[in-house]
Amino acid sequence: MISDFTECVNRARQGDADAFAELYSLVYKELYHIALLNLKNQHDASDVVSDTVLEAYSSIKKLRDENAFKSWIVKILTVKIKNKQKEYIKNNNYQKELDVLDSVEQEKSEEIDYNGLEIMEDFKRLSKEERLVLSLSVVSGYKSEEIAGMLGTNSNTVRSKVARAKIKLKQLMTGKM
Amino acid sequence: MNFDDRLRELINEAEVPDELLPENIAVMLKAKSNRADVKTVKKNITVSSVKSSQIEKRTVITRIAAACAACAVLTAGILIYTDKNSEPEQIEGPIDYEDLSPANYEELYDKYTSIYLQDSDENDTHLTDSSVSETDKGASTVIGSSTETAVAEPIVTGENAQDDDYVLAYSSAPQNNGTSDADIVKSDEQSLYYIVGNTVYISSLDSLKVTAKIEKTDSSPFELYIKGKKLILISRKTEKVLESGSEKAESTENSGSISYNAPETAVPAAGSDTHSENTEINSDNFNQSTDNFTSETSPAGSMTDNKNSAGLNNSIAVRRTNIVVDIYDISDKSNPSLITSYKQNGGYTFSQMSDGILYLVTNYSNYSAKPLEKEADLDSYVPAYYIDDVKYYVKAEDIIIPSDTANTAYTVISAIDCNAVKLNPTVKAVLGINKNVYCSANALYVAGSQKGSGNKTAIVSFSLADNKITYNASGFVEGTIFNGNGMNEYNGLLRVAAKVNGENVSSVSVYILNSSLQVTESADKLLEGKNVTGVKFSENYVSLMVENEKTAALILDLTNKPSQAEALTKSSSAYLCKYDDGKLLGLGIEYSEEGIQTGLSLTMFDTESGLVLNSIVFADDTDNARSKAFTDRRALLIDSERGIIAVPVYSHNEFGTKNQYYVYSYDDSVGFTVKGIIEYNDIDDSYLFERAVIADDIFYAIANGRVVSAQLTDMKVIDSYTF
Repeated sequence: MISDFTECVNRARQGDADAFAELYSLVYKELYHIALLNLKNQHDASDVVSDTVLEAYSSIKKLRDENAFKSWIVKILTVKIKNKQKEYIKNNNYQKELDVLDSVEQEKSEEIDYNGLEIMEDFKRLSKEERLVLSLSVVSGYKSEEIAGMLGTNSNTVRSKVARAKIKLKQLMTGKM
Repeated sequence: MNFDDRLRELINEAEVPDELLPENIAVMLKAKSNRADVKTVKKNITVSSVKSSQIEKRTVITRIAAACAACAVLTAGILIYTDKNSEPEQIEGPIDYEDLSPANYEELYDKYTSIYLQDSDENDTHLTDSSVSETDKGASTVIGSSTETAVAEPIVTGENAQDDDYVLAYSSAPQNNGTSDADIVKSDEQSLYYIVGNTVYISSLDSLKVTAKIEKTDSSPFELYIKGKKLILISRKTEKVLESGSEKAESTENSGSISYNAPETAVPAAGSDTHSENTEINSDNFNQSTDNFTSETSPAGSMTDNKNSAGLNNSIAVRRTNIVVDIYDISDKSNPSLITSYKQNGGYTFSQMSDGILYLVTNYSNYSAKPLEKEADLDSYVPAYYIDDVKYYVKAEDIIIPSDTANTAYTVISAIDCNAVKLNPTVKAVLGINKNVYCSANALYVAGSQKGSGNKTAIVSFSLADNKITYNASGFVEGTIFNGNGMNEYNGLLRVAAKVNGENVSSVSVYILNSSLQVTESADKLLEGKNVTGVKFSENYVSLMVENEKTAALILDLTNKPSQAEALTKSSSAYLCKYDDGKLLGLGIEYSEEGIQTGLSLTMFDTESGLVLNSIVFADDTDNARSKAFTDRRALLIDSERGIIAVPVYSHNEFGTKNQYYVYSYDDSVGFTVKGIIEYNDIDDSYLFERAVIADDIFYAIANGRVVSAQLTDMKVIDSYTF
């Protein structure tokens, strides 16, 4: 595990793609999983992560604190995700429809093995705010204060959203597990 | 395990796509940097462009614009077609096969190491950095060590890394060529077979009741075939392999026994005495991974200390993806029994079955951050396969190394006779060219970029017959071949669509190659400056899709018959499929003059005259109707013998998801007639219909977790089963 990002970040600032890839390798799974949990499909998630990489690579000179690389790139990702979600709304009201589902009580399905694909589907039944805070909390392990900093909100709001999302998700999963 | 951990575990099941793996990201960033440099240097060079190909941005009159653009570009494309009677234009000489295959593993080792070093020199100067001492070079890799930078293996993942926009559409699934493709759903006269999660369900066609289940606990099934009384199941299996110094040991959890009882064509694996019992694994460390390889270093092997808690120097755990082929006897539908298993190193590229012979292609890379040491075992640089857990290495002489091979990733190709009492597969491998594969009934083509070739793609072809894979020819085309659907064989000729990067803009070239892989015809500079995201060959035509445009931007007549091409471009149909020998079926999206979607369309073309025989607009009462068939051709049911066409359609509304199968009959005299619509309204997309099959005049619509049967005569639902 890289404990000091300074060297890698400095090399990346000078255009060293391998150095950037080295940094990226620490977070790419998180980035993709966060994107996947918040977007419609794998293609969009992949696109958003690619965009995030390009933006981060081209603007890494702006990163002031080398050791904040991870939260910095996650923040870029959250902006990209929000932009993509706006596209959904603009294109076909997909997000709106998903949000409507919040109020729909879930059917209890027959007993079935729970797997990763289903968790993605159940995530879609959370509101977009709940999805984002829960994915940042669970996938990346960020604390409420850190998420609040990234999203420009207060930590209490984040905390309550994470708690509410977990309860909702548990209920959805319990119906299947 | 608490809720968060469980959640994290589930989320981590989602595999990160190849193009996002760090090594591919590095390649992409380098490629973009290089292109930026080139553009800077050559910005004053004027590019000769085809005027008519500079199609204006899509206007509100989408359909008309697309048609006009197609006609304009088509004309340009045909104009610059080379004369069929002229001498074949060969861009590069063929590769001399005699020089390609090493005689033994020592030669392979030398070649492999040489390629690795050349590649590293070009791609990463850190390898020769003074920080890597001589003693380091002999040791096995601890990735993430502060003393070096991990050298990214330049695995060209479907050529994405070289693509301007890093976006390519369509899967790598081959196009319809008369052979059997794998699917998640299959049927025979008695049963339906379908994969849900890690389980294969066998359902009676009569009652839809599940008669048997095959549950895979150690692998993830994703495709299946039915051949007579056999079910051939293809699964992905990730296995952990421990490496310590020059030794490697496969973890006992999944590895098979090792035997010297090898078939004549294979080399048995080394002895099993390399098992490491004490090496601990810790996944928290810096890791590098490819599609089929992940390495994890010991806990303390991070910045300064390469020793793990077991005291082993440089111990590494690597995860390799293998593809498993399980052959089951399904004579008794209630009790399928495993006959035999085959396993092959690498991630899945594609498979196809012809006359009971399964052709399996995987991409395999044994990533290493350092050159191989002299005593490296075969696992370090030779792909392996297993028959009922007995391990064999691909023979050195069965490995092809094209000239100027760019990297050390393999394409591994096997032919497995599923009817054989005892498996004796033919296994070949190509070093350095991987991922872009196309297979016709009799030939297999592997394509990839090569070192120093600029914007060219090398192609190697094999002939397939009687459980044998035989090298045939090799050649080049200018540009980067589109993933998956960028190659197609028709009447013995290979057609290729490639993206060519000009000085300032990219364009598409379409080539026709003979059996020696020499380019005999080409249409160049098509759709200049457009982001072409998809290609579809259908008999004599190729349609090219452009990003954000729902209709085909260009349909090119490869027979150079303008009348046919003109007729086709009048349609907005984007996806052309063979209906029968004389007809092509097009599925498209219809738009109003204001650019608002008005529905989906089916259009039948006569391939001889090029005329539209019949066309129908449907789902016109649904906003933004979509179809899985646009992204997976197997979702579109075409049964020309019965005259049945079925299209899955879904849409979203305030109540959730409307989930339908539109079923049409087609007759030359009356055209399309709707037979019925199977419709379900769900709260979300969980049950989207993905496949339909017909058996005994019963129509079955299959979703992930739901099967619906209906009378084909009137499409009345007989039964439905949710699981």
